[in-house]
Amino acid sequence: MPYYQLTCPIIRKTHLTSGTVSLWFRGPQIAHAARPGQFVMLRVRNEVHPLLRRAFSISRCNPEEEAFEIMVQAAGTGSRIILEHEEGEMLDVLGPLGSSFQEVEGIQTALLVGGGIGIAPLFFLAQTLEVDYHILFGGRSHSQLFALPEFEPQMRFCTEDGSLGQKGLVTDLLQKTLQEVSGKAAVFACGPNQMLAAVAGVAEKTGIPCQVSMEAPMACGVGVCMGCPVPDVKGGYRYVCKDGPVFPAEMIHFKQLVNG
Amino acid sequence: MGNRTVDTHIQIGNVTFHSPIMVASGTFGYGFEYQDVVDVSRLGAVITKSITREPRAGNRPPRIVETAAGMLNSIGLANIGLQRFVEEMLPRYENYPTRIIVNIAGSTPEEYLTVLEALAPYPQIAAFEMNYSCPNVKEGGICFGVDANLSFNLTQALRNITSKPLIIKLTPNITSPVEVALAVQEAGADAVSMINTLVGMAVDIRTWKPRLGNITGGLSGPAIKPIALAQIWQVYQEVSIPIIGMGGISSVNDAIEFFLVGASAVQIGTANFVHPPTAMEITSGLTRYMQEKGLASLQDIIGKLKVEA
Repeated sequence: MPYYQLTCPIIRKTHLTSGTVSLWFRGPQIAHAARPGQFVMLRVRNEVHPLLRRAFSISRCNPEEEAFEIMVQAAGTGSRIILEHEEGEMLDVLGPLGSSFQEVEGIQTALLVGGGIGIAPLFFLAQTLEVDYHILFGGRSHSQLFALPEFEPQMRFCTEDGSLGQKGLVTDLLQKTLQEVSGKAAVFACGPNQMLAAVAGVAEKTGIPCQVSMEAPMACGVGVCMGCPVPDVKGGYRYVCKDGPVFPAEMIHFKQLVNG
Repeated sequence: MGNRTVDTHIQIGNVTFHSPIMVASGTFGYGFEYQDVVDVSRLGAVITKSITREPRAGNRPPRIVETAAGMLNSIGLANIGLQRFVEEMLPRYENYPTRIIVNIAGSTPEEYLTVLEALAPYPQIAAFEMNYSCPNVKEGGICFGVDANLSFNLTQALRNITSKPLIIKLTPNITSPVEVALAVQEAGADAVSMINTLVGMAVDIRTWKPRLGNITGGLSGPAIKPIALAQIWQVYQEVSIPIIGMGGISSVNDAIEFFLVGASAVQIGTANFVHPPTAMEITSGLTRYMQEKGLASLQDIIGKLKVEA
């Protein structure tokens, strides 16, 4: 699949939480080519520091506007600079990159499990799904979570401190939801490695297909720098930018990933 | 002034390159990964990821950390190995739009010799760059690049295998690179390339752990440019073979600094990650600069640094 380097204007900026913004960019080739699960690499600014591009999952696409969205959470210097940009400003974007979520044949329900800002690519997936779905959104507290109106009826929340939705981890919410759904289901998850390991564990125990979207530090985003390995169950590594970011959960050696 | 044609070709050993702007090993994959956004025919050469005799999975993660105006990496020469390189990449190089220089690494002299012997006959490979200096690979190996005698012996053995250009990539992690540069020149190397990454480290004060799985890594990017310039200038004054300069180049102005201190060609590395067309843009920028300055050939810039006697 080809990718592009485009200078894209921000056409819409909204605040999702106090530290998270949604940025919509106009970028025709990217908006048309992108598939759920893929990501873009944004140049922070045209200076030598911060040097490297930052990776963001595409969180929604709007082909009519030829636009795509990313969700940026204030984490480090680079993301702070990016989220301070305003409508009309231009950013240098490389994308769409990486693998996408794959359709699972014969399922009645898709369970989209997001931890923190890992929720982002699951909205894009929800946009394209033709089966029933639930979006399970977990975080430490309510201040991390948000809803998008178009998906709100399908969204369920949980927090570690109980400030919104069910108290506990998103895997607890997943297990509860699994008891409610009838027919075949599949899990699509994105979030911190610990969470993905737990979600993959639940899926394996219940015999449900599971795809995970992963994150790792990376310099290039296109399979050149070899900086973003995740351990393969068969030994060696897979690369998040090129082999992923979406992997079948059974391909990843989660024990090695989490324990280092 | 104006549209005068300028001659940007350079000669390394018995091979001519149409442009002195190349892309560095480890930052351009096997030459195909950036073709969606880079017209590689504009580049003087693509230097491949280091090839080793056996495939290498690479070091434990994390392998990348950003630092002030730079980055540290501890990739550990992850690559597909000689056999897969021959089977999968060499056929694809037959119609490749620019020259391919294969970078070779090893942890024993035999490994370098085996890989060079296997690859030397292929006409689609223009030249070889020998990585004597990877800072991230240690297991049982010797860093040839810090020892002039070892460098001499290995280079001489490699020279006996091929008449294609042999470029020796020097380590900057040494008191002075001059002695090793002179040794490889004497052993028959056609050029030296420098600098490789500098050994560096970053620490997470929240966890008290190193930020790289390998603890230390190689520093690259704009942060190392002044060191690269100084080392190239040192070597330029002592050796007569061409120097291919690199280390933090991200603009044509950076590249011109390298030519002035004695580089005959330059490689763009980390900047490829940040802005893939950097090398193409430097190629255009160099031609423009030479036209504006009325310089007919690269020989009018190389090593022309003005210093008080």
